[in-house]
Amino acid sequence: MAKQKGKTNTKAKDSGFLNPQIRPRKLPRYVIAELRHDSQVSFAPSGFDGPTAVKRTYDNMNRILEDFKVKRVESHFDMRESQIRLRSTAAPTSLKQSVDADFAQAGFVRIMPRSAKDVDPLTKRLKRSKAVWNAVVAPEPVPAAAPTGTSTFSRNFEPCQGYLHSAPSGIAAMEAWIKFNARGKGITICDIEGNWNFKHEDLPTLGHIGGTLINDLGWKNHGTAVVGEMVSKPSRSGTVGISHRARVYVQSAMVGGIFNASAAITNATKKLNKGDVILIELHAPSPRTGKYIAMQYWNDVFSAIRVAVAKGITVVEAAGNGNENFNQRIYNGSGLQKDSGAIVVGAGIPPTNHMDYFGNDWSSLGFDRYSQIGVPRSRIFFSNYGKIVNVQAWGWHVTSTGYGDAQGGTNQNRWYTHRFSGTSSASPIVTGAAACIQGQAMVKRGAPLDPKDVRDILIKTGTPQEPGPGVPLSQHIGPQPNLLKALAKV
Amino acid sequence: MLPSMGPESKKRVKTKPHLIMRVKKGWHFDEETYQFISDQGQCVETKADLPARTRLEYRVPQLVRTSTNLLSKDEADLLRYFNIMLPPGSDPSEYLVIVKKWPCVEDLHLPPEVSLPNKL
Repeated sequence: MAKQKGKTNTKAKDSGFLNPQIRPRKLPRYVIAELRHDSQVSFAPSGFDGPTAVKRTYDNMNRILEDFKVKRVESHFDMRESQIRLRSTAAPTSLKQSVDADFAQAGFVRIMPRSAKDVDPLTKRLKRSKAVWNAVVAPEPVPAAAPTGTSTFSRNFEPCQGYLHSAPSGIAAMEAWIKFNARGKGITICDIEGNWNFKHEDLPTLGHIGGTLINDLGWKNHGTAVVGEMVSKPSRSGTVGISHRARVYVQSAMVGGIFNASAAITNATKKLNKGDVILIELHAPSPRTGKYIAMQYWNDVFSAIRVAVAKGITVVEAAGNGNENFNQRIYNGSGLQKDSGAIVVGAGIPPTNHMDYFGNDWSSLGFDRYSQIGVPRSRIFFSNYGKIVNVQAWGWHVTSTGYGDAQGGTNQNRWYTHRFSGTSSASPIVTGAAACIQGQAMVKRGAPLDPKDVRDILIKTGTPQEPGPGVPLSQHIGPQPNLLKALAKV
Repeated sequence: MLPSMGPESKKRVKTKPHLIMRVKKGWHFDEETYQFISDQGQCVETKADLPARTRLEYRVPQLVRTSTNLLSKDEADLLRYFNIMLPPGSDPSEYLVIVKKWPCVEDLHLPPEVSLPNKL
């Protein structure tokens, strides 16, 4: 798209504060001269004039105009010539006498020399004139916008993290921190996917268990956003994770040059202890329909999850973004209709859920730009659903670390997003909630809960799923966790 | 479009060509001879059917050294999965029919195309 003159600059590569920079328009420079109230000098478009008594004064002034080849002078307040001529008769004899606003404004003269470089010397010459009170170069104003450019610290995005807010909008994490001090302390979370930004300013140290990191910015941003939802550091800037006192490990699903989710889960299971939490942030196309489905469809993954759950580790799994019904007959007997023990997470619609435009063509899905995508806590159009999908969380526009659309710049370690979406954004919310519950169980009972009890509590205390147009309750994704109510059950 | 934003990455992550196989109960793998041997002594010679430089790997090798008696039912199940790692440039689908004929095979499939469940 061609650049337009005077248009704001919204390049996301500007670091720190991203307020659009305003380019001042190139306007001609000119001089504003203010005539003394007690001077009878007046002016017309052709130059200064007045009664004979002040002829010498205005002749001198007109010579200045000639020296700078000024052909025309104008009223700075666009006053009529007759009003300006009144100056000669109405001028007070002393500066102590007050004048009305019309008289005062009639004394402001706008003078534009042919060349911009003459503005300064012309101002100086006019200032020395007997009839001139003051002469200034006209200011070049710009809109009084907020500061632009870089800042020492990142902005505080915590107010944008609506998923932390009280139910029914969010999971009531903020309330739970205050009432129970449940922040995941003593619990370790392991995120299984492909890459992360290990140096992000708002993340704690991420322990890498194993697997090959996938050298791709998309995978790196994804992992960074996932971890940010759960454990980004509480501070005056950036975001804050649901279970920000939990420890985090990461395990890549790329093992030995291939995707091997079962080996990755087994690695994590060996490293973690009873009460800890594993998050599976992957999906893959169904061999039956080609739509994206949950990883537990594959039997080796199903068994690996069961092994982890049997050890007392809570496993949270993204249901996947295939808009697929797991209850279909084609999936009979598969992992999509059996209980692996994992908490399977669907994507629900958050309270603020308008489509926006970032180059994505949503029209094929029946959405216009800026249209609302549905009823809060109803199934979002892409989320998989079925009996095994236990709970839901925000699947749209989650604020977290990474990506750089909320705060960009050349330094990836300061990138933040407002647009992390999918069952990808929903699953870490539930994982964070599970870590808080297990941390609270350790404090209150001296031992963590059984993973299936964690799941039951989240389901029983959650804010119910809502129906929406085209997404009835029969398309089951379960309730949205309510951490405040859940912790009361621990 | 802002950097790093946009639809889901269409970029497919490159992986080594392979097949995923689950062997029937009662079969075990002999790593020295590269054969699958049943409890009844039946033997599957794998090398004859596969291209040179093919490797057979346990899909969850972390469990191999654990004593069979200590394995749970699910852990024992995981030890029945193998990756058939084909040489670079091979097309795994060409070997589906051949390997399926082995009497030890319970399930054989192409690897799932794993990706991230994000939506931007």
